[in-house]
Amino acid sequence: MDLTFYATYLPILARGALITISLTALSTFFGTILGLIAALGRISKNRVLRSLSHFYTWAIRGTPLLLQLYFIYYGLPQLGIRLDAFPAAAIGMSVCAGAYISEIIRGGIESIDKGQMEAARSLGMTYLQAMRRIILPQAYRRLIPPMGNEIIALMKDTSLASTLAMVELMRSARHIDAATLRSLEAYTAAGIIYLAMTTVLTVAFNRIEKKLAVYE
Amino acid sequence: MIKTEDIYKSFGSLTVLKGVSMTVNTGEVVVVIGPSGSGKSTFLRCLNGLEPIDRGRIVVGKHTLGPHRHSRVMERELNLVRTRLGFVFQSFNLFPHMTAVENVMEGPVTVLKQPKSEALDKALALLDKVGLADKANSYPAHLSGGQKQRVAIARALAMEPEAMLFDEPTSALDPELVGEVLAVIKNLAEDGMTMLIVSHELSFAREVADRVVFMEDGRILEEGAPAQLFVHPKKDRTRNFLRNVI
Repeated sequence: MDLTFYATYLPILARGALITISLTALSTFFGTILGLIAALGRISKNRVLRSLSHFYTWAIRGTPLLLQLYFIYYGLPQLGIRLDAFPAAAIGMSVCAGAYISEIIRGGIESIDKGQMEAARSLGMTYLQAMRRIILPQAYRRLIPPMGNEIIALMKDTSLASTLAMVELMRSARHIDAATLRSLEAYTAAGIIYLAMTTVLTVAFNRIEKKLAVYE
Repeated sequence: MIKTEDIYKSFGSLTVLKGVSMTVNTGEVVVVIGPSGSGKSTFLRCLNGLEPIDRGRIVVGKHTLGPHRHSRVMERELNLVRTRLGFVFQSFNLFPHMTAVENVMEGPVTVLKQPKSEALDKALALLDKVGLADKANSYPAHLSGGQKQRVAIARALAMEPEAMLFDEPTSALDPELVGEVLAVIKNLAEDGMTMLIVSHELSFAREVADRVVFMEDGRILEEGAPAQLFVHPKKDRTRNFLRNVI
C-alpha cells in the first residue's frame, strides 16, 4: 500500500462520490413520491388504482435493478426514447426505489389502528385530510427505520449505474485501478468512502428516530 | 333531530340490524341497552356512516343518508352529518401524536377552518369543562383512561355538534374511572344536549335517560321512560335481561 497514492487519486474518487450522493438523493426523493402514490393506490377502494399499483410493485420487485437500468438505457432507444446515462440511472433507480418504498409506506399506514381513521372521519374530515393530518404523521415515525435501510441499500445499489457509463464512485475506483493497476488501494479507498457515507446515514436516521419518539 | 327508518345491516351472511326505526328528539337523552351482539353498537356506527347501511334511511336534521356506495354526493352529505354528530368511541381513539388541546382543536381547525387562536381558546374552555385544564399539553400516552375519554368528549364537543353519540363510553375503563366520565355526560344532559348513548351502566341510564331503548337480536324490543322500562318491563326478554344484569 502506498499512501501518496491516496493524495493523488482522492479528488477523482470524491467526484465519483458526489455523483453517487446525487443519484441516491434524487432516487430517494422521487422514489418516496412514487412510493407514496403507489401505497395509497394499493390501499384505495378503486380497483383500477389498486391493480396498477400492484402491477408496479410486482414487476419492479420481481426483476433485477440491473435489468431495469439496461432496459431504460439500452432498450428504450429502440422506441425512440434516448436518455443520457445520468437521467437514465436516476429514473431507473427512482422507479425501483418507489416500488420498495411503497411497500414500506403501505406497511406503516396499515399498522395504524383502524380507530384513528374512524375518529378522524367522525369529525367530518375527508379521506385525504384524515390521511394527511392523522394517519401519515403517525405512520411516518414507524417508517423511519425501514426507510433508513432502504436508502442505505439504494446508495450501495448506485454502483450498478457504473455499468451505464456513469462515473460514480465505483466506476471511479475502476478507472484508477485500470490506470495504475493498484487494485488494492483503489478499492480500499472506495470502500472507505462508501462506509463513511452509509455511516453518516445510519447515525442520522438513529437521531431522527430518537427525536420522533417523544410522544410515546 | 335524528330519525332512522327501518335500517338493515349485514356483515357477510350475518344480519346485525333487522329493521331498526328510532327517533331522537332535540334535547332528548336516549340510552340504548341490550345484550352483547344485539346490534346496538353497529346501530350507532351506522348513524354517522362508519358502517354503510344496506337498506332504510337515516335522517339527521336536514340531511338524509341511505344505503350508499361511495358516490361523491353521498360523501359530502356524510361529512356534513358527521360534523353535526359528535361521536365518542369505546376505545377513545385520541390522536396519539397530538397533545390533549391539539386533539380538541383538530376538528375545528381542519374541518371548520377556524383560526387557530380561536380554536385554541375554545379547546381550553372545553378541557376546563371536562375538568382537564391542567392536562392541555399532555400527550394521550400520559393520561389515564378516564382522562382520555374526557378529552375525547371535549374533542367531539369542539365541533359544536347538534347531538352526541356515545358508543359504550365507559366499557374500556377501570371501574374507579367510570364515575368521572359519567359525570361529564350527565353535565351535558343537564345542559340540554341531545344524546344517544349505548351503555351497560343501567343505574346511569336510569338517572340520565329520558327514554331507554332495549335492543335484542338486531331489533328494538321495547322502549320507554326509565321508570317504566326498568320497573315494569312489558316483555319477558327485557325482564330476563334486566334480572341477569342487575
